Amino acid sequence: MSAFEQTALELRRAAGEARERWGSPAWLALAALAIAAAIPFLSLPGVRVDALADTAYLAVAATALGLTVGPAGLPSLGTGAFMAIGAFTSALLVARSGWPLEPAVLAGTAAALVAGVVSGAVVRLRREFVAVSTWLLAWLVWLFLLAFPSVSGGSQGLILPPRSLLGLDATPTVHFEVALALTALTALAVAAVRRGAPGLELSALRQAPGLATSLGVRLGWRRLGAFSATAAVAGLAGGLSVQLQAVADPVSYDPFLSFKLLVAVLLGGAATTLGPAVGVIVLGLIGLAAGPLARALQLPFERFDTAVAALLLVFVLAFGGQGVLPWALGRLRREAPPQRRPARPPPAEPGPNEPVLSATGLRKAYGGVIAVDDFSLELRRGETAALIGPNGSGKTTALRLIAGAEPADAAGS
Amino acid sequence: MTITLQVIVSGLAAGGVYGLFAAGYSLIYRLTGIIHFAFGDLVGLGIFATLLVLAGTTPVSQSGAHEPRFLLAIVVGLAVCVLAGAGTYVGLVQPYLARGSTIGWVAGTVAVAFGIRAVIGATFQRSSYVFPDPLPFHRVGTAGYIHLGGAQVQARAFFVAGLAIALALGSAWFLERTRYGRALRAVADDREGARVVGVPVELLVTLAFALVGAIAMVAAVAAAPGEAVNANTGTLLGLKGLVAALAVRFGPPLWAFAAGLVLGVVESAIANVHFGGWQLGPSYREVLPLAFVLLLISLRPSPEALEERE
Repeated sequence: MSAFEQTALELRRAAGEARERWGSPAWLALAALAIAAAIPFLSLPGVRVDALADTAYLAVAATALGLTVGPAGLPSLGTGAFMAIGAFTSALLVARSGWPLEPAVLAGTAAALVAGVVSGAVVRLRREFVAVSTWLLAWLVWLFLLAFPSVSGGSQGLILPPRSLLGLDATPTVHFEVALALTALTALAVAAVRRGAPGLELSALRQAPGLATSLGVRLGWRRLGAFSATAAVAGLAGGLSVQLQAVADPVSYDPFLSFKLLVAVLLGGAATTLGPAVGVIVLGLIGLAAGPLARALQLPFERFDTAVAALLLVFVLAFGGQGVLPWALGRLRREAPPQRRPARPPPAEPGPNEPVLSATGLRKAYGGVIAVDDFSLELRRGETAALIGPNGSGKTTALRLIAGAEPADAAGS
Repeated sequence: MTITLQVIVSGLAAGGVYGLFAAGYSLIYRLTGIIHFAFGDLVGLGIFATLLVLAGTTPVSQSGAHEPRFLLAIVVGLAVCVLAGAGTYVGLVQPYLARGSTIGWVAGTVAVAFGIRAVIGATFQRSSYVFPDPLPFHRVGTAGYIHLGGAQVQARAFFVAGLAIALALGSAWFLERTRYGRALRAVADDREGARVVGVPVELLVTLAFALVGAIAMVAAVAAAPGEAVNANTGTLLGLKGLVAALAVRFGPPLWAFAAGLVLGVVESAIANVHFGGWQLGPSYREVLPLAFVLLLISLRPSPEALEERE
C-alpha cells in the first residue's frame, strides 16, 4: 500500500468517525453558538453587550484551561496570571508606545506564551506542586502589578485610547463576536487535541504516569505543550478583553480570577470540551442573579460573588465533581436515546462451528527485517488457541496486524 | 550597623510568624500529602473571631483591652480556628484524599480560602482595623520603641520573635518526645504501617490539622496589634508561610520554620537596607522572594517533588 493510499484511508476513517460522532451534542453546540452570535442584535432589555463580551473572553480562557485541567490533569491555579501578562503587555504597547491593537494583542499573546513556557518547568512536578507553584505565580503577578504603579498605572489603571479591531470600530458587539469566534476555535482545537494522539498520551500520563513514561510517552513535553498553549490563549483573551474595558486595572487580575477560571472548568465539567464555556455562562448567570440579592442584603457585591463561586464549587465537588455539561448530556441521553444508524447491517450471529476470526497471508517487514510472513489463522467459536514462538519471532506483530493497530504489507483475500 | 539590628529584629518578628505558618504547611504535607491552601485564611478567621469578641465590628478607638475580655476573645478565636480547621479536613480534604483526586482537594481548600475571605470581608466592611493590644508595650521604652545603639526597635518585635521561636521549639519537643508526637511522625513516615499497629490515624491527622492552625494563630494575634488588619491579613501571612515551606520543599517542620525566619529578615532587608546609594525598596519586598522561590522549585526540584519518571 503506498503512502498516498495510506493517507487517503486515514482521512476516510477520520471523516467517518467525525460523521459518527456528529451527534446531537454537536448540533446543540452549533445552535447555541448561532443563538449567542445573534444576541447583541436583538437589543434585549437589560442585556449589556460589554458585560457579555467580557464573559465571552473569560470563556476563551476557560476553554483553553480545560485542556490543562482535563486531559493533562494539572490543577493550574495561575491562568489569571497569564491573562494579566497578555493584558498589561498589550495595554502598555497601546497606551505608551501607540501601537495598533492587533500587533499589541499578538505581542501580549507571545508574552503570555513565553511566560507559560518558562513557568512550564513546573509541569514535571507532582500535581500538588503544580498547584502551589501556579498559585504562587498568580500572586506574584498580582503583587508585582500592585507594587509597581509605573507598569500598571497605579490605582487609576492604564487608560487605553480607542482602537479599531480587525478594521472595524471596536464596539462591544464586535468584541463579543470576536470572543465567540475565538471560543469556538479554541474548543475545536481542544477537541482535536483530545481525540488525537496527544490527548490520549496526556490521559495516559494522568492516569498512570509511571506506566506511560515507561512506554515512551514524554511526560514533560506533552504537559508543557498543554500548559503553554493554555497560557498563550489566556494571554490572547486577556489582551483583547483589556481593550474592551478601555482601562487596564490591576485589581481585575487578582488571584480570584485564576480561581474563578478553575471553578468555571470544574463547574462545567473538565471532561468535556465545551464544559468550561458552559461553566463560565453558569457563573455569569449566577452573577446576574446575585447582584440584586447582594444589594438587598446590603452586602458588598464582590464579596458575595466570591462566596457564591466558592460555594458552587464545593457543591459540584460534593456531588461527584462531574460538572454541569456531562450531567445535562447524561439527562438528555437518558430521556431521548439517540437513534444511531448502524454503519453496516449487524453481522449474523455465527453458529458454533463458524469461524469468528480469520486472517490469511499476513506479511509485515520493518526495513529489511521480515517480522511476519504468510501468517494465517482461523478461530472458531468456543475455540482456544495459543500463539507460541521464541522472542522476536513476530507474535506481537501478528496480533497487532490482526487488530489493525499496524497496517499489513500484504494480506490474503 | 544601626539599621542592621532594627532590620534583623523586626525581620525575625515577622519571620517568626511566617515560620510557624511554614511549619504548619510542611507538617500537614508530611502527614497527608496535601498543601493546605486555606491555612492562612483559617488563621485569619480565628483572628477576626477574636476581634469580633473583643471589639465587635466597629473600629477600635482605645489601643488597650481588658485582660478577662481578651482571654475570652482569644479562647473563642482559637476554638473557631480549631473547629474550622477540623471541619475543612473532614469535609473537603479527606473525601478527595480517599478518592485520590488532587484537583478535588486543591479546589476544595482554595474554595474554603476564598469563602472565608468573603465572609470576613462582608462582616468587617472597613478597609482595615486596629487590633487592640492586651499587653502594655506602649509603656516600654519611649512609646513602645527601644533604643539600642542608635537603632529604634519596636518592643513588640522582641516579644513576637521570642514567642514564635518558643512555640516552634515547643512543637518540635512535642513531636520528638511525646507519645502523640511519635504517633504523628509514624503517620508521616508510613500511613498504612501506623494504622496497622493501631495508631488512630484519621483522628490524629484531624487534630493536627486543627492544632497547627491554633499555634500559628497565637503568633499572628501577638503580632496583629503592630499593624492594621484586614481580610487579607491571614491570606498574606499564609502566602508567606507557603513561600517559606516551598523553599525547603515541605521538608521537616523545623527547617520550614527556619526558612520563615530567613524570609522575614530578607523581606525586612530588601525594604530597608541601602547598599551605598542603591536600595531596592519596599516595592520589591514581596515579589523578589516569591520569584526566587518559584525559580528554585522549577529549576532545582527535589526528586520527591518530581512526578514519577522513567
